[in-house]
Amino acid sequence: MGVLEIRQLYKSFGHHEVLKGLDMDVPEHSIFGFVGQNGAGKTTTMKIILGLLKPDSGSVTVCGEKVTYGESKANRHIGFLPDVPEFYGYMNPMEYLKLCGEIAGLSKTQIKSKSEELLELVGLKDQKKRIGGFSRGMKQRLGIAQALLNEPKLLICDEPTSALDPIGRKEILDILLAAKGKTTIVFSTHILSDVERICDRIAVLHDGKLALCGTLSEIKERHRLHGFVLEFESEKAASCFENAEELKQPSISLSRDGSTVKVFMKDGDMDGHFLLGVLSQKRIVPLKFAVMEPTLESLFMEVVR
Amino acid sequence: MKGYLAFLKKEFFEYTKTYKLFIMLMVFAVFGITNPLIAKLMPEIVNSFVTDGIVITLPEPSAYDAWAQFFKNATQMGFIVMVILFSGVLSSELSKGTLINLLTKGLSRTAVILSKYTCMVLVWTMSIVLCFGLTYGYTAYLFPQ
Repeated sequence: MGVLEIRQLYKSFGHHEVLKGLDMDVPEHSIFGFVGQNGAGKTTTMKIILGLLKPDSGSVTVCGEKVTYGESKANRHIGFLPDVPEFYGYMNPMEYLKLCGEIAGLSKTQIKSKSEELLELVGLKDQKKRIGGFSRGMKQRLGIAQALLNEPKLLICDEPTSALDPIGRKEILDILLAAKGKTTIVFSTHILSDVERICDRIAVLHDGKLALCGTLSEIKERHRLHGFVLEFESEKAASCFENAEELKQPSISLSRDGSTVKVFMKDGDMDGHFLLGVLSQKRIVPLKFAVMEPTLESLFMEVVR
Repeated sequence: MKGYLAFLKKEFFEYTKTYKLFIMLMVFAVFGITNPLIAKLMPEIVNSFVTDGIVITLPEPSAYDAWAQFFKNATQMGFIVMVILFSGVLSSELSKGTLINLLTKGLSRTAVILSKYTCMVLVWTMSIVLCFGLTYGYTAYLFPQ
């Protein structure tokens, strides 16, 4: 059973339908990348999971417990990091975590040991100054610490890496990776390289539904392009190859740019051997012969278009 | 209940750290001291404005005047100060989003409102008691019967 299950979720704001029957499953101990355009409904989905927004219809289950609008009981399984976490500027990190711990109902000793452990994890251990003077990256890290305080089974991060510098981003991603063993992480982002770096599963939200969902390798396998890139010494060799009789078939499309030829095959059972055969027949040796790998970006573009 | 107490503690901490409590107590202390003083000095203040030819006779100031000042200042001016200081306590948290972290930790909305209310009632009570005490002391000193 998954940590998070979403079934047929609908939500509209006025006439604007944001979610149109969203179905999503997040298995335990995974890092789930939730990708989509701006305004696709990522934040809306997260708010519904947290019980901060009321869905029009559909159900959300967290660890077997149904989410209700308002005071959601399922929230004790969830840690949430908002896109721009806001804290009380007059407190220092330790005081803030103490407040969070008291609200979550932890005992004094638990709060103390857990806060120290988490501040160590996020690198704010010796930070005695007030949160008011913190940088964006430090606030983001403190946000992760507060989200992990009650040992949630599900950690939800809303664009944790947006508006951070490259070092800050790397730090946040490392922290998330470190937290992976203890919890399941769902995080939304537009930065596809982040997804590729740490996620084992991704879902692309488009037009109110999941347009793409699965593990990264599964998705790449499913969308393999059957395409090849060949680079030649000269344009002459390239055009000679391009105009070969064997390649004039409806299932093959060619495009040439200078001395580089791209070959796409619509037919699944035709493969690189065929092209290699043509090459040896023409007695041309290419400089480069490569299988085209689908990038996450091209997949995203394809899905969203 | 746990959330209520924790949030109440946070509210008090906030009022001390942001000097709200300090300002409240200071303003009320000033009122407390000046109430009997103004009552005592009122005839002299009025007379200093009087030009020749007009004679204003005021009754001898008494403790009653001091207490009249108290009820005027504390409940009108004091209340305005209170409103100015505490009007933003909920709306600022809502607009900044500081509550989201805590609400998703299981803090109930009722606890937020109740603890804010409790805290404000306590601050108001403390201020009024301080003001009352100071007015009482100075009135006894300035208007010995």
